Amino acid sequence: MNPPHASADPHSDPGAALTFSFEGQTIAAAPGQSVAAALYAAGVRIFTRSFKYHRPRGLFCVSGDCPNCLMQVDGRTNVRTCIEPVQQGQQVCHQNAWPGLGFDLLHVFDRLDFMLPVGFYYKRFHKPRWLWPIFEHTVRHIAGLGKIDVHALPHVDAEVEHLHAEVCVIGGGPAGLAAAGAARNAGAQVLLLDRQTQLGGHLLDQGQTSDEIAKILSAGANGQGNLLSIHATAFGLYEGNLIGAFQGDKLLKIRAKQIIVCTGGRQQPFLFRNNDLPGIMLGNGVLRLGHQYGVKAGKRAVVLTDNEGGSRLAEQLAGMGIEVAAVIDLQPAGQGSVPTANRWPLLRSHGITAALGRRHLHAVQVARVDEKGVVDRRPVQEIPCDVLCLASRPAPANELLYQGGMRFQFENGCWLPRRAVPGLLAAGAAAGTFDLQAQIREGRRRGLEAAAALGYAVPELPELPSVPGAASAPLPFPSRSAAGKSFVCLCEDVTMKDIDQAIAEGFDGIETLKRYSTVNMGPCQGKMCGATASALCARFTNRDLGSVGTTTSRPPVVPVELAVLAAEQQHHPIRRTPLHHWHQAAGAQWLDAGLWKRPESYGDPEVEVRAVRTRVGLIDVSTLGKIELIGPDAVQLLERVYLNKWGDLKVGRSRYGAMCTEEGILFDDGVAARLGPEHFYLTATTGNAEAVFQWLELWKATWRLNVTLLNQTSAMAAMNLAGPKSREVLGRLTKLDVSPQGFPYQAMREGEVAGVKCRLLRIGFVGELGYEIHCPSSHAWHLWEALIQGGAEFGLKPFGVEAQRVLRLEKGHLIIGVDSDALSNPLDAGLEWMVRFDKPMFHGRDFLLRLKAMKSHARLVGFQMLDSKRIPSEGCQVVEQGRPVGRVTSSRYSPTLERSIGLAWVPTTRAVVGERFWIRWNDGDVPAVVARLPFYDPDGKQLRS
Amino acid sequence: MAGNEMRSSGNGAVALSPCHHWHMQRGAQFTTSDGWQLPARYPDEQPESAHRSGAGLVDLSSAVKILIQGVGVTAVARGLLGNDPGHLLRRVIPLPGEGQGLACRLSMERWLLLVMSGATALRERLANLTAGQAVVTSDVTSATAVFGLVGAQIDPVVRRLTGLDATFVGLPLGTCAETTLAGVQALLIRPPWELATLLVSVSWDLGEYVWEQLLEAGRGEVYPLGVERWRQLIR
Repeated sequence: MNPPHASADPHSDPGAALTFSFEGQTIAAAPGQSVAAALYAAGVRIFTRSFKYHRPRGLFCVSGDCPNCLMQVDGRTNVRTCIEPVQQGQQVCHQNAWPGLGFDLLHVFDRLDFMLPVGFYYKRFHKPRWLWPIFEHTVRHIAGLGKIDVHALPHVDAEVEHLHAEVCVIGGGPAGLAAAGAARNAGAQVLLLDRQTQLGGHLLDQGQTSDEIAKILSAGANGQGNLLSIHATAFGLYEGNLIGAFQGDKLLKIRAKQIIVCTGGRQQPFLFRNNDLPGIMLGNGVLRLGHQYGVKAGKRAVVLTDNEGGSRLAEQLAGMGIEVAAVIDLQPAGQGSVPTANRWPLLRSHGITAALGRRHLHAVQVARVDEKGVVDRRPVQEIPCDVLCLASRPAPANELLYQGGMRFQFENGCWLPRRAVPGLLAAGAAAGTFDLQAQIREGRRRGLEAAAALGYAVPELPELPSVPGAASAPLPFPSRSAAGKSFVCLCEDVTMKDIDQAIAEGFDGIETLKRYSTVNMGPCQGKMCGATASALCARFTNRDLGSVGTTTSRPPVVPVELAVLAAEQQHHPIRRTPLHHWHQAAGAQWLDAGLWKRPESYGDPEVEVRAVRTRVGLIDVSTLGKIELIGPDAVQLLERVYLNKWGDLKVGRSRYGAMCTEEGILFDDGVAARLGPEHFYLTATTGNAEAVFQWLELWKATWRLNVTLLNQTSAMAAMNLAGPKSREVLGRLTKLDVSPQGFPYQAMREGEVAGVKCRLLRIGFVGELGYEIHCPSSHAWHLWEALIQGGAEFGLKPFGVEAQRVLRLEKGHLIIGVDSDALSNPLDAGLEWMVRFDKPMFHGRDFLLRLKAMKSHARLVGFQMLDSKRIPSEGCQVVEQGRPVGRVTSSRYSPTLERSIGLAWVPTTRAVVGERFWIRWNDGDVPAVVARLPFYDPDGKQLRS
Repeated sequence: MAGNEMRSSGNGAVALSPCHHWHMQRGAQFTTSDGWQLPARYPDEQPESAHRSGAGLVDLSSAVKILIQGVGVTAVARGLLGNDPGHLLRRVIPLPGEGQGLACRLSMERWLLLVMSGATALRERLANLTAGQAVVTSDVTSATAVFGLVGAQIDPVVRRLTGLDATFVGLPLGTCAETTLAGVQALLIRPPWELATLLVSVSWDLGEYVWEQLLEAGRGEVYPLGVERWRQLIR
């Protein structure tokens, strides 16, 4: 046989062959073949073992829908080898079988099936209770498919791409080609997705050439629009006409104004005993194997069909050189028939009672179908064959349409779309149209409809096919009392008897039946079993299929590697201050603060602390939030969101302030400076910078205040020059009067430092004489270097966040978010001095008034350990009589005080200087004592110097 | 209303783009212009015609950026542009007399002015136009980094980074859009220029990250472009 799509037959032309390894054997394959096709050509018939009973399973659908060819390829588990292209040197091995596919010890479960009835996990392993750990261990060991190599490096090459189209057609079969061509001809920009490497859909399985396929696509082409065709698999349809698709390792997110789903249909398995035996395949799978991969499925075939397609299939099999032993027509007498052919026996109104063979099919038993559509239990003949082709009526592959909101109604033996969804159209077998010419006509119509919806002028719309191409006969079934296993769900080994039993136990709705029996819940997600499960449910509950319905379709329609889905999260933004690379070069150890990178230290935080306390230090505080308020209502806004007063702040002065939520919970703090009568500049904490800006915007709009807010966080860099020598360093670089009188504590000045226009705040978070210098980000490097150089003779050292935390702790300054939590209020946190109840209104006022009237339960206090060298971890519990009553929020060793110090929430009764309390430390409780704050420079002489 | 005029300084203070370190590492030769150190050229810079098959990426962070906001902004814009800007949002209009200067209407009461170099004349005009108007002008030059993508391969690069349709269909000439790019907020500007260009404006502190992401997304197709080549192309 000449394979049209596989480029060469490796067995006839070994020089052109690829090779790969399967269970230690070298297998030859032609380029373009799938792994499974090459294995089949090499004589492999058992591809996997079933999930529950470990029965041998062979190729079945050859389209990536069923679970029968799942293998491990190059360490990847659950690869559908029937659609996995062969690569040179691939390592392929089986999964879910031990010791091998030919002999699997766990096949014993097939004999122990009486122990594993439907819903066995609700019924078994309960008693005796003490055996559960053994059961659990065993079940965990046996369950699951494939083994992931947890030591292998994760697959991280995935990327994401966003595509946009006016019309997106999903499916490159005849309907999809016609739709895409028509929309393109009308002038639309069209994106055509198809999961196969070649366009044509099921026409490729029929042996149609690409020329014939191109004719459908180009019919009436006039080149007005654009058409881009890509090989990609759509796995989900989401809100806003967003299509999720993948192309190898690439995640595609496609937005289209109009979507036309032409995903075709799928043949379904028939029910009879041993219907899972290797050698039993869907008819289209046999054709695909032959026409696309150049591999004959067998020598002697029987065709089992319920529609006229069976006869066509027999013809095609004969054309491929496969002997047709018989065509068996399941349709009961008087409900349609397969055309007669003289070349092979045609058994009308017959079915198959059983497939015979242990590891592979060698014959089928045939019996009559009665007028009720039941296959008789007594066989009338046995037909030897090595392949059984199931030429069943296709079911629409309409999962994407369901996800898009379309609903279907069962009519004339088929599910037909009934609810229109704007921007979503369906054509071809997915819409219940099975005749080829009707599919093409419907495709053209939908393509033109999509173009018309976009405003393109279109010719008169062609008529839609009036009658769907499906037959009306219900699916024939074996007798309910038939012996053996007739599998409904190949993934989960759910049999017809299991369905019967589940319904008998009360699970008679299709959704509860699914959950109880696990039908539809395996790797195929109902593609192979959904229609049969619904039909059985209807039959066993004496309802019509329309009222039984189908299960819900959710993305993904096809399996997607997690790495591909995670590609969306590949971006990890980093916020760098303008001085980032200076810090890097200076050997900074980094601390992640949200998206920011901050220098934690430059080697030894203790040395940095001493430098600030005794000489001068410089820290990059560019990550602080910086906001300007300009307008006549600026004061009003500040008064309402901050706890303290702002109206009396003079121009050129700054003030520390904190803000609360409406519930009186501490939200953020910072310093605000008055630049002009209606102009303020305020800072917020690094973590809350954006939240504070949004908070101010919200309340500005709510109260309709006339103030403009400018977020200057990125625009302005900031650095804190602190230490007894900081005045001298600054004085060398600016003409500003930096004397204690000219630039006193809490003053604000604007002027040039090292030639850079700056805004300077004389504040002292670290408790020393200090200047917070703000300048445009673009000039930060220049200014920083000037300060470093200017400070060299004074022993200036850069210091990081760790030193800053020690310094502020020595000074007793709290950090909101570290020393406070979602329940902390300013009264208990030691900020009661700031709260101005004499203001008529501010956020949290009412709550704080009530809290003030009530007895406080806890206070934030400073403490020191009795053992001055012990430093409790932050978060340690404060305990009283063994019960937790508070926690340590900050603790460090103070190089200045030469002892450990900290802040902790303790019961109010303990919040007295000198009072002892206990901190739980590993396995014991250690004593600490409440200390007076601040620990360092209690009179503020250093700060105000 | 007065605005924030905390802008670039003189007296030998050098302004650096957020990608300055990257340019240095790449061996760029620098030039000084308007107090900024800019990468003039790279040692392995692609030939001038390369943008026809790929795309060049140029750091335009030194461009002067002025944000005008307030209810009086339309009157100011009318004065600047010499005609009525209408009510269309996301419009990008050339700034008369400012070379490659652009005026981007971000919202009804928010305009961003972008001038590639020097803006003394513009500042003077603005000072006159805003006097007495209910607007706040703010120099945001150091708040945002701006990069220019120029050439044939802009779309393939950008669609790896944003869900916005940034093709000529979704973002036609003379329009702009705020969106997420590489996971961060960005303003994309399609100037009404003959040369296929897309300007990307992001927060200053994210500048180096976005620059790297643009190059990574366009691996093999996007190359860094010095300002000398950029000026030749844009001329």
